[in-house]
Amino acid sequence: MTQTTAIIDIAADEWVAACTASAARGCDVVDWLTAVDTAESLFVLVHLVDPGSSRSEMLRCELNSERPEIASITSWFPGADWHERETHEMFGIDFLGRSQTNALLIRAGDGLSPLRKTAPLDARVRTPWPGQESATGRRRQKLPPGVRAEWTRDE
Amino acid sequence: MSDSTPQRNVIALLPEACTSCMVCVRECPSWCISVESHVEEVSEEGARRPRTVNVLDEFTIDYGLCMYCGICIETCPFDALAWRDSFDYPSGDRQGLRQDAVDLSRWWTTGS
Repeated sequence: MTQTTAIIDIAADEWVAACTASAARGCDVVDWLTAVDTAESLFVLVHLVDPGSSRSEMLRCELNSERPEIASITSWFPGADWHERETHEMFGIDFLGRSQTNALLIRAGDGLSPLRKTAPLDARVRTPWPGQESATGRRRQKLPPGVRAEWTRDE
Repeated sequence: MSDSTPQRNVIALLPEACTSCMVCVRECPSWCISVESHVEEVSEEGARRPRTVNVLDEFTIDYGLCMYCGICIETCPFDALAWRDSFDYPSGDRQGLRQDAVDLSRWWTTGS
């Protein structure tokens, strides 16, 4: 599928209605569902395809990054089940109205959301960054890219 | 070297072109490059003040960490890094995958 699909922005309370409306237009198979954390905003995206043609629709919804939650679409799209579990585990997004969201990889209860920009990169904090010193021995840039100052304070 | 773009097999270093600017070290996503250098003053005739230049002491790529993305080659402002086709550098131990400036500069001329 090489064609580009336009992103349709959806309000959180219209998420299920928008997805079922896409299905009514023929795009009734979940290709994938995931989230994107841009540090400023948190989005959940779903790519719905029409298996009979190459047509597809991409729906996006901005979430409250402090308390991210959105209605589950698994009742209408069973294929979204695995994707919602993964997105819940990696981004800490609660999918409301589904039976259970068993973790796939991470032990339950530790509250970590590894793909959120706020998740500390422990290895990057603990490993000495080879780029810290300049040729003159002066520290030009204190922290490596992607490492936040607040992660290093506890060290 | 053939006319085709070299495969991503090994990274060659031209130490004479390296100014120890650390751009590759900072841009490397795998943190596999380390550079050691010192500053020397060079007096030139007619110049009012001696010029300070960075002198490269050591340049190391750890192929145990490198993911062959080529960002170091892309970002080097002085074309001191380049791909070469050779791939015959396996090692039985972790330390053997660390190549220093001598190893890396050898690829520049002998790397096919």
